[in-house]
Parts: sequence; C-alpha cells; structure tokens
Amino acid sequence: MTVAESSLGIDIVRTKDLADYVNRPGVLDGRVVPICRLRAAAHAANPSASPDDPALIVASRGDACVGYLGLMPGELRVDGVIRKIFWYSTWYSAPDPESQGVGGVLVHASLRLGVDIATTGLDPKTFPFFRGLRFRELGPLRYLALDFDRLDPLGLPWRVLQVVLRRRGIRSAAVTTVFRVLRGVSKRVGYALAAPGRSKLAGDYDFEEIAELPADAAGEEPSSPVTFHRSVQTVRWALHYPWITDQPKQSTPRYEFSDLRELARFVVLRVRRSTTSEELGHLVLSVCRDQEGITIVKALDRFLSCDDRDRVVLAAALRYAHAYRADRVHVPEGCLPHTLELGWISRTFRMRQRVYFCRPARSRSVLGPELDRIGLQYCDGDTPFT
Amino acid sequence: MNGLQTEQALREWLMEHLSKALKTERGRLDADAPFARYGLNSLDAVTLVMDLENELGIDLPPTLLWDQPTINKCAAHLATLRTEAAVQLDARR
Repeated sequence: MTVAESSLGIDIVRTKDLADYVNRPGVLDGRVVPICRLRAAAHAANPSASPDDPALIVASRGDACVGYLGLMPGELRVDGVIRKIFWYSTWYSAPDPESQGVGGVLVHASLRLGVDIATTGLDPKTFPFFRGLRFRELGPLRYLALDFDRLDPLGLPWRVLQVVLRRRGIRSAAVTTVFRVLRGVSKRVGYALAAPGRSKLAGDYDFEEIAELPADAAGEEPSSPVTFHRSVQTVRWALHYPWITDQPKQSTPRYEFSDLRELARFVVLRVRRSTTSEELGHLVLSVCRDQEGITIVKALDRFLSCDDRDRVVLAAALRYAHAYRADRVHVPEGCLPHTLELGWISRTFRMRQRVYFCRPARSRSVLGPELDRIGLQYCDGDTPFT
Repeated sequence: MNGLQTEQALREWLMEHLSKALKTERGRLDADAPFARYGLNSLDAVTLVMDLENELGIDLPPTLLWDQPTINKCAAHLATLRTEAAVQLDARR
C-alpha cells in the first residue's frame, strides 16, 4: 500500500513478496537497507506465516528507504489451542532530522493492520511511547546472566583500559590483537579457577552434538495456560534459517542490525544421563561472538523429559561457555537454585530482566482476553534469533 | 456525529490538541507553519492522528501529518475526507 501523493510513502511487504522485494534494484544497496537477505529468507519460510501476512513495513521518501518495521508471525498457545500473533522483529528510522517521527508512523501503520502485536528488547527510552499507544506492559521476564569478567582476575581492568583507549581514539588492529591475546590468557586462568564447580555439574550428563533437532523431539508441558509458543517445527525452522552468520559472503553489508558476527552458531545437543545412559531429550544453545570480541552463550529451546531440566541446561551452557571461553552466559531463571552447586562461582551470577509490550488488535482478539494469563519464557520474542 | 463538521471546527480542534501536546498557548501556533517546526514528538503525532480517527470515525493514513504538513492544510484535507465519508454513508442508506 502506498499513500498517494505522499511525501512519505508506506509500503507493506507481504511474506509471499519478500523474495522478490530484496531483489529489487536499490533495496539492498541504499543508504538505509530495510532487511537483510538472511532475514528475508527466514521470514519467507516461517512455518507460522501465511503468504499474505505482513512481514515488513517500509517508509520511504521518493525512492529512498528512511525507516522500516519488521513483523514476524508467531504463536500464542491458549489452553492448548495455537493462535497467531505478530512480533516486531526490527524497528529503525534514519537518524537525520528529516526522518524524525518516521518511527511513530511505522508503528501506527502496524496498528492499522488489525493484528495482535507483541514486542521486547526495546530501548527503555521508547517505553513511554509504547505505553502512550496503549501497549500493555508484561513482565519483566527474569533470567540469569553470568559475566565471566567477574571470574577473570584481569577482566574488569581490561575492559576499563579498552574503554579509555577507545575514548582517546586509540583503536587499531594491533591493539585489538594484543587485547585478545592477553584477555585469552587471563580468561583461561578464570576458567581454570571455575573448573571444579563446573565439572561437578557437567559430569552428570553426556552431551552429544547432532546436526538437527529431530522432528519428534518432545516438548515440555507449558508452565502456564497461556504462553508464547515455539513448536519443534518453529525451532527447526530457526535452526535452518539463522538471522546471523559468520560467513561474510552470506551477510548484507549495509544492514543496520548487522547480520555478520565473528562467530555465530546454534548447537543442538542430545542429552543423556551419564550414569544410566538414559536419554533425557534435546537442547539448543547459541554461541555468538560480536565484532568487539564478546562471546555469549545462550541456552535456548529445550525438549527435555527429566525433572532436573534446569540443571541440564545450566550444565550444558557452562560446558560450552568453557569450550568457547565465553564472556557471558544467559540461562533461564529456573537455573538459579542449581548455581549453588557451583561453589563460589554462584556469586558471579546476576539476575537480568526483559520487559514485553503487547497490543491486542481488539479487546476480543487473540491477545486481548489473555494478557493477564500469559506466562513468559526465556525464548519469547526474537531473542533466540539474534 | 460530533461537532467537527466544518473546516473551521477541524482547525480549532487541531489548534487545541497541538497546544496541549506542545504545552504552549494557542496564540503562539501558526496555522500555516509546518508541524515539523513545532518539534512534535512521535507519540504526540501518532496520538493526534489516532484521536482524529476516533473523533471523525474514519481511518486516516499514518502519514497524514507528512502529507498535510500544516494545520490549515490538514483541516482542509480532513474536511474533504469528512464530506466524502458522509456522502458514502448516505449512498449506502
């Protein structure tokens, strides 16, 4: 849809049109690139999407894109019944003064689509904006974060020195390399100190990396009658169509939310209990290193049948954190009691939180009557994709 | 039906809402000055258009304030839309 004779054009790109849209001349090489190839491919194959679902709202002046809002169809499970909702997946407007207000126009355009919307990961500065548009705040969802700077005896000093050098404009490949080598050494010391507690936990389970999540992986019963739902099919789709890559050839260079990382991989694990070889199920982790060299391990979806599933998740996350010398580890809040088994490392965990905003299309639409019953989970939103 | 039947009434409504949103006196607003000059933030701009939709009972383009960038242009455009909507309603009856 384009508003006629408008100084600001609004286009709604449908799922079925995404592939053609990214191949249009000028779309991926303009000043503002509205979507990257990886995301376009993922959106187009989303098992929760229908061909006519809106996928991207693009604001343009003349032929130039000046802002965009991504919409990703997802699922809400209400008393066992799966219903469709939409997540905001990106939201950006050009920083020039002429584009002031474009972000608001994009959100308004999305509200006109008449769909139920949910979003998270927003800049807190935008919270008043969403509250003002009658988005309902949910949460916060609490999760555990381990920052290995707290284990690394030289972690904090390195980080401070890095910031000081950057502020003074001293930033070269040589300095970065020296930092990485020195940090690598001190991190190794930190991990060695943490080894006894980690080994105690990880020793109870065998983790086998497998190529893909089996289609018959059994999900857990939801913890709440209403949850944002990620089926096995959805997780398999996310694994097949990642939004980030460590392959420069696959990335879209000028995309604002860069899709290129030094390291980007999902790890699918088959879990067995060490003592009995009993198969406990499957678990998905992500390992990602950004351009600043910060490595994050996240515990994502789990399909585990055992009672100690939070313990399994923590053990796997710490094992991979050790393997990749990760700087940070994010795991669901339920892992908290098991951190006590880690000895003094448990003191380095901190609770973090995410706020969600939801806006039902109507009071009786899918989200409307259920807002007070939604139980939030760690993978809700676009967290697992980025 | 509400009182926003004429271009003048719409102009008055816009002046009133803008002065509240901008926390400024109505007398300081210039009906021919672009909205951009007033530094209207995103929330105020979207809320203004959504409130207009509620008042008029018609859908308006999210780009309304970009397409009709002054109070006078906006009021004239809305008056036209209002008339068209009324004609369509009559035709359906």
